[in-house]
Amino acid sequence: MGPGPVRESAAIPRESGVRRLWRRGRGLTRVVLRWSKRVAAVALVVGMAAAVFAADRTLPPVARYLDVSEPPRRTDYVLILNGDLETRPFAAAALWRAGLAGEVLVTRQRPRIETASRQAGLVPSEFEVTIGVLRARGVPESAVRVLPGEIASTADEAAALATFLDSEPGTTAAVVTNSFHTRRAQFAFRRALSSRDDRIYFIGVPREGADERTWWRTPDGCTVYLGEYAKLAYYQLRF
Amino acid sequence: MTTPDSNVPPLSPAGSGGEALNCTAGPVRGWWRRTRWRRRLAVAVLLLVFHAPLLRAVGGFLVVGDAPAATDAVVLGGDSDPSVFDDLARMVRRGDTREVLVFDDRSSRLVRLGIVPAPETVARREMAARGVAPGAITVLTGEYPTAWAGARRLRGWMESHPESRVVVVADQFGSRGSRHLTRRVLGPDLAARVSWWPRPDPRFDPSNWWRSRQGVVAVGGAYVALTHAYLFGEPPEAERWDPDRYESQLRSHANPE
Repeated sequence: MGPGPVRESAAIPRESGVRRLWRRGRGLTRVVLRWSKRVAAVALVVGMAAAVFAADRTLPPVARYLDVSEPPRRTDYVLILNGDLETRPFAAAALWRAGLAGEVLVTRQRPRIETASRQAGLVPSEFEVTIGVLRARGVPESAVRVLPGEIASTADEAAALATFLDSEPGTTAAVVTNSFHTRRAQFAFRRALSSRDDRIYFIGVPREGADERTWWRTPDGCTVYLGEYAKLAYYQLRF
Repeated sequence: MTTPDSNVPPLSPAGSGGEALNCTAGPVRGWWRRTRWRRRLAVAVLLLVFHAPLLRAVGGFLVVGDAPAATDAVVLGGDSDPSVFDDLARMVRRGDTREVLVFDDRSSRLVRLGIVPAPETVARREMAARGVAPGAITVLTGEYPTAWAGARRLRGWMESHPESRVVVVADQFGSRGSRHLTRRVLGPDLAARVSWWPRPDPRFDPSNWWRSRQGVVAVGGAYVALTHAYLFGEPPEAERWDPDRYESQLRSHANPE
């Protein structure tokens, strides 16, 4: 008995080169993603362990990263950013009194973002407090200039200073804010000033209760530094 | 006779457990992956659709206490909105409270310089404007840089006023944290005589806090403070910044000789 009839098997289509590359690329991506997740998980655990058991060494650099302030130098103006009234206006007054700034620039905060007690007039507004501090520290009215408009954010302050510097060509300005805020402020101001950003520099002052050497030990420090990272990420994404 | 196609992998002997299993692993793994992504998509859609009640719950968790009916003393401290004085004046006139305890915090240099009025000044002015006699106000002057310091002062007052019940006026989102640390400082016996009165902020409340930057900052900060209080207790005393020393450093920098 001889072999049966030979049947031609159905032709199996060859896989195209493109499809083969796509399949291999997809497989490689999955492997990379899987290992990336594992590496990220290990890094997270190691980071948290370092934060807990070696906080004094690992956490201060987290705060220092946010500080891009520079040593003080003579400028024509010093701008006070809205915020910490316990330190920023005092630092600006000190710069003026030390002869490191010609005039002090202040901005008005938008009333509806002030606290309820300020909006109701129970206590002075942020602007009134700033002016009061400058006056109390010996800065005369003639040395204080109010930038036009109302401010609701650091980006608004950057835009206001950019407009002002456009009207005062060749002048320079120091920007006073808390140390942790300088990196985000620098981002916002560089964006607003673009080619003119070499006319400004940032001075950082500490915030009481939020020392960069021990920020994690106080709730205010945690709120300030963790919040600043969140705001920095928001600024990077938004602007 | 046909020759085997080089693209078709050879079949393994049955039971070898190698490529025989791989014939079914591909579709199974694909199904699992598709199902996992569908689950993630479903969760994302649910979060998007129900984000409002979820966020309300997140904010609402921080709010504890209720408006008081009657009490021996109401504790007022910090930044108060104007409507609290209307409510306090009403309570005093109705006899729902005997006195208003004002925590006159002098730790701020703005207060010490007279640029910002002290809490005592604000309270006396506002209560007098609403017809409340000055005798109804008791002032506890001191430096309360943290809520823990204020809680210790309250403990002293309550120890000297046994049986007195107090209601603490608190910022709405800070009320849970305030209650926690006050209970830790006062202890269970004294804490049993304290209740909380959360005051809403006109700019945001648990139903809309996520719609404003101030609301997000308030809720975020409250959770950080609450978590920190639970984990670490009272923080160490913070170093005070000295503007005069800062100025002298600047002068030295400006004039090195």
